Amino acid sequence: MKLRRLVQGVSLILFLALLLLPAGDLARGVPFDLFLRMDPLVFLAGLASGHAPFGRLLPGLLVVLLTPFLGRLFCSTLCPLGTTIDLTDRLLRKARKKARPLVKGRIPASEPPWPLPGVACVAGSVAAGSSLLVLVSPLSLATRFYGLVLAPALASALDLGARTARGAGEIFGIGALEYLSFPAPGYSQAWVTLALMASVLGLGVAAPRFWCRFLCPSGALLALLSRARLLKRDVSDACTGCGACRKACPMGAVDADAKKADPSACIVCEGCTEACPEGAVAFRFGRGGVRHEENLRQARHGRTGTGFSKTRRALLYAGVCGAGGAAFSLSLPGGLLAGPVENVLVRPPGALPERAFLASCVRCGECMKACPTNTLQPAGLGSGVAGFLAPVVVPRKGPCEPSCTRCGQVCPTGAVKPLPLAEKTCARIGAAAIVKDRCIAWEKDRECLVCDEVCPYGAVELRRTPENKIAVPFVDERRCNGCGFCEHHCPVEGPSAIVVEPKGALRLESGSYVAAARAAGLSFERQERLPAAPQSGPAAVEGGLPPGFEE
Amino acid sequence: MDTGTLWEAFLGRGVTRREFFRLSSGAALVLGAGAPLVVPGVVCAGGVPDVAVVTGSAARAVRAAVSMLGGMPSFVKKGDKVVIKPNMSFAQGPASATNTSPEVVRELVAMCREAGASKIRVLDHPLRPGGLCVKDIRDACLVFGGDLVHALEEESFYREAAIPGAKTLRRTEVMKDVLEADVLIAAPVAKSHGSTGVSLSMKGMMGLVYSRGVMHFLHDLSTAVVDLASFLKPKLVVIDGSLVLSTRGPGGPGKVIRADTVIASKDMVAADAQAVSMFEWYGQRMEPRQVKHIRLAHERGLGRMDLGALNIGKKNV
Repeated sequence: MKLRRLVQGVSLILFLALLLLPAGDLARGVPFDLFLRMDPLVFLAGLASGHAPFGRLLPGLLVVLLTPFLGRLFCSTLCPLGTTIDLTDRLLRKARKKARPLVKGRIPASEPPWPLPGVACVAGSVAAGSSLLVLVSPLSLATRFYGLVLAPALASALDLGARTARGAGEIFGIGALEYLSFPAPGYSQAWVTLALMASVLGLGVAAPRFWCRFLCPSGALLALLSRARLLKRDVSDACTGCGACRKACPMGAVDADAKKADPSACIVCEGCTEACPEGAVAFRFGRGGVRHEENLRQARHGRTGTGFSKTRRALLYAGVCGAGGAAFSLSLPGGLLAGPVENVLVRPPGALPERAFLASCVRCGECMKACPTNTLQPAGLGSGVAGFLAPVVVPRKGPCEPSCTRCGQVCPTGAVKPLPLAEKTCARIGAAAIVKDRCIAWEKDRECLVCDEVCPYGAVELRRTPENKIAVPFVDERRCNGCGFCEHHCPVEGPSAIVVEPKGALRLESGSYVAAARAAGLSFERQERLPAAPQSGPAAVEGGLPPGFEE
Repeated sequence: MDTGTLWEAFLGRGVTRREFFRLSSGAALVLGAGAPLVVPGVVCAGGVPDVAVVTGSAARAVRAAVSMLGGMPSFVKKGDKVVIKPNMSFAQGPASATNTSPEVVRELVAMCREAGASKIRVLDHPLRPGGLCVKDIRDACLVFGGDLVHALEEESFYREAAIPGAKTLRRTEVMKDVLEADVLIAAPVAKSHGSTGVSLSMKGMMGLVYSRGVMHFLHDLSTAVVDLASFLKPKLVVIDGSLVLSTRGPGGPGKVIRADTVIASKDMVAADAQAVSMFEWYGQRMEPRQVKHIRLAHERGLGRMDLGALNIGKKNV
């Protein structure tokens, strides 16, 4: 028990450290999304995408393979959402006592629900091409909550502290504090995650680990795998049938006959071993426990005298749920029934073609957390329900940094492919287009060249035209990979006068982006590689004045 | 002692930090003691020039140009807080001439140190992620400690200031360090600018404010630049013309001309005017009055662009 708590604590800290540290320089080879990849549902989504390297699937594979041996140890030790729930459940103890009369009789003391329907529903939807239901996978939810809601809040608080520290640093002459700051990123749709998390945690008022017991789809999957687990709950003959273990079990896994327990509900938290006044309960491998851990399923779901089969009913229910999930996914804008999927939003560089992307993105927000410029945001309904909370590039928030490849490095499923910098540079996410009637140079003859000034690829050019008194910007689409520096810095208030559109994005299932870009006649040269020799006369001045000068 | 080669000696011989301070304080003494000897020489040749134009390798030229104006101690007093504003808004190597060359900045820092500045900061509000932009200049200044060079991107480092007598930009948020500094030194690189013709000391002051976008959007840019220059008046302007970005500025890539020139002046309008007139822009010779913000600043009396009436001191080192 104590060991388990320790493991739980260390796991949560490790999870948070991995999640929150990539704010700095991304060290190669550090598995920032390690915990995410342990989630069996994320594992399934990665498997389905077909683009996750084997190494990325390994943690999930291990969890899936070990569960038939060890049972749902993942839930009680490694899962950060489970640990969070354990923590808040403690805080909710009093509220739970108050709510008991309301809850009584509605939630069975034991007899957890048959996990198949939930699993079938999610599996059906994943199979049909949308991972939208993975929204509620525990690791996706926990990553999104800690990374996109709690971390920015924490950063804001730290920044407030830093301002104070700066003042103190000035007084005491501590140079290191002089420019201390914690810029807090901001993410849209935070309220969705916050509300979801609040409900998941709030359910603890009804019963401890309510989410894990009744709702968690990953837990349900593991429940299926642990039905015949080898690590068994062994109750010795010292048992007096006092029922203390049944009371202590947060998962309602222990039967009225305390010697019997449901291995698929049990998360091996050892609450029962600790609660037993006789020390009669233990978890061990091997024959010792077999005679005691009777399979409750048979008793519960087997035929009863009335001729009604619980198993049959549950299977039917699961079938309906699976079909429902599949139908739901199919009919979504990204689903197979909806016809070809258009790129309506600008996705991160290296994102799979839209349909495959939406099917394999688990909406964990890991890429958004890792993004140094805050340009990656959870999408609203801009690409339909199917694209909800998937990452979208919002240049007004920040541009896509030319030297960065983080989003692909941290994606647990390969929905955004891990690319070396040269490939990422060519993984064009869209192209900028000037909205002339908003542009102050085109529309109002005002001196402005911010888009040209900031473009890392020299794709914006100022040219004099017969219609305009001053030089006006043009985009050379062949040199633009959609990084959005121009849109970000455009000084026009409100929507930018130069906008990155997803049109012309390179979204490859496989193969080289460099080759694809070359084939399409695109060339994204960073300005760092300057021609050593002076360029031939610029096209901007043909006999006229240099841009920006007056007669 | 040849203070101009202090750096070469330092870098070449790998002296210790302690030794370096001894050297540089020695240099300061020599400079301080030598100033009365040197300056009269210049005075004899026509008084302290309004604009000093020195050709030669960057660091030596900076030192010589500032000496012609009376030496750094005439700008920076002992205990002064100094802010140096170079161009470091682009994450490109020095060869692109979009940023001030690191040697120029380092030499200025060294001279401020020698003059006894209590606090020196090299600051800019860059357009690209700050760490990348300032890297070259930060590396060059590391010998003076790690806390000199900063790209300030957070609004909390700025404070709103009113600009008295402004034509259009009446208020703006300015770096607190600048507002609190005793001495501001402008150290721009000479480069062209697509909408204001050139970006030199006056235009460079935009790197010390938080909201630059609004200067384009709400105001006439050139008028706003002059308003800002009327408020953020550097005591000393040192224009780095070792490499000149002659076309496609301010971001490049454009035609880079090796001019090996440093222009220094107390008058930012005169310094900018000198740079406009002496370098070629898009293959053409331009006059200072053809740059709107220089003309407006001259008309407002912020400085003088009539180079013909000024005392231009020239030197080769």
